Amino acid sequence: MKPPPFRYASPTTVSEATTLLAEAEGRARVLAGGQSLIPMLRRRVIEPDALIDLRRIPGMHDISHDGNGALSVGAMVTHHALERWASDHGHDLLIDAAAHIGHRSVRTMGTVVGSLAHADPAAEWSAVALILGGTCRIAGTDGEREIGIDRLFTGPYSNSLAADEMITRLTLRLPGPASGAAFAEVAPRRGDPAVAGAAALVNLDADGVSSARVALIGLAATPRRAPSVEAAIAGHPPSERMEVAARAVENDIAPLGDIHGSAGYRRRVAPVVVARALRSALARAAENRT
Amino acid sequence: MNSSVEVRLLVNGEWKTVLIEPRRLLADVLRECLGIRSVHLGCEEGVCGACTVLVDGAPATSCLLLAVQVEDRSITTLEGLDGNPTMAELQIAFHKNFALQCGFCTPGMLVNLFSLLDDREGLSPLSEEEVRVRLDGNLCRCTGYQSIVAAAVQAAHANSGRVDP
Repeated sequence: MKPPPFRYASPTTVSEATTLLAEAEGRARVLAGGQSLIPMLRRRVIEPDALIDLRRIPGMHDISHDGNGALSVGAMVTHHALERWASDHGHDLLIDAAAHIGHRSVRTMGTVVGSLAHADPAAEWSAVALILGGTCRIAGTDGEREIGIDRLFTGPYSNSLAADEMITRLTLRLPGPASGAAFAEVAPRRGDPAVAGAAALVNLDADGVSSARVALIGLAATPRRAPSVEAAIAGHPPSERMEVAARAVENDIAPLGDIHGSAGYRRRVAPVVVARALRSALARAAENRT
Repeated sequence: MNSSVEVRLLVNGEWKTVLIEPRRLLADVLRECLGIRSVHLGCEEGVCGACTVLVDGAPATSCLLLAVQVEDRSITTLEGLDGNPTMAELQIAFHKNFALQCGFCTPGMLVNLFSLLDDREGLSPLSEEEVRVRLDGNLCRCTGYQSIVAAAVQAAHANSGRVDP
């Protein structure tokens, strides 16, 4: 089907955008790249009164790095733009994750922040944001607030934003030099939605893994951290604990079944993606220490 | 609510203004308002790649874009690449390798491969793996892909050896 009729606005300031959102009283949607929104319109899953396109608001396309590890990603930054930034600056985790998002032609228009707001339980950037201390800057008619990414997701395809709010940017804390990070996923074919995926960030010291962060996608109603895995691997020499840590993931998941994979299959595949992400992160951390 | 808006697009190097409802998709506007028929609609949900065009030189799925979203931007379709030497290499290689049968997916394949080759000018030839990764969003139901991948590798090889005047 073709999208249903809607009013279209392309405001030039954030306050204009949030005013339009408030006026629509929950019957408007924010349009960034549209790569999830337009399929939903076509299937008539949603029939909003209005779309508020962010393309004309200055600064929304900017990626900025403060030189101190904080990377700020504007609401209109595309998957491909962040992928290119990551490859220019050698950030393996971001490169890994971007390669799994849709196809190249979807990454041209699809946006990082739009994907987070869409709150797909299997969205790659959510796992990345969860282990990189991601925070979202949120603008509303009453002003701005900042929340941790873990407080954005409230369920499959639902977020904690009020009707008059929009995310203006995502901030990530990039991993330091003595760490390693990686992303792994299983999908039916390259570019298909993930059945399950994991992002891992580890720090090494002389005794082994000093700290670890692991996040999962496709393994619960929302993307989430894996505290059992993190606890199982931290404080040990990595080679001894890989099996135990990967198996510990069963305590961290509550998989739902869908057309891409049953809950049972996801349970089987969870330790596999965790082990792949951890091994790759550990190898990178070891390389970075030398 | 159904009121139309004027949208200006730079299509294949020429400015065009169309009067459309905001809900019109770029693929439909290109085909129905501007008569550009190389843009094919297959799945209409971003899976098959038959509607691939270039937006400011980068490949995009025109069935997943509203025309208003790309106002004032440059849109290039297969028609706009006619006579381009890199596209010519691709077309020759597709011909030699029998890389098409019904032809429905071919424009999307060519436009996507063109952007891959164009970004790499002067670099080493493409590997089969790089071509397969790039074509993961373009479906062909006739050829089984072997001939398409072979054609792309051959065109990249020919292209890397070419010296433009």
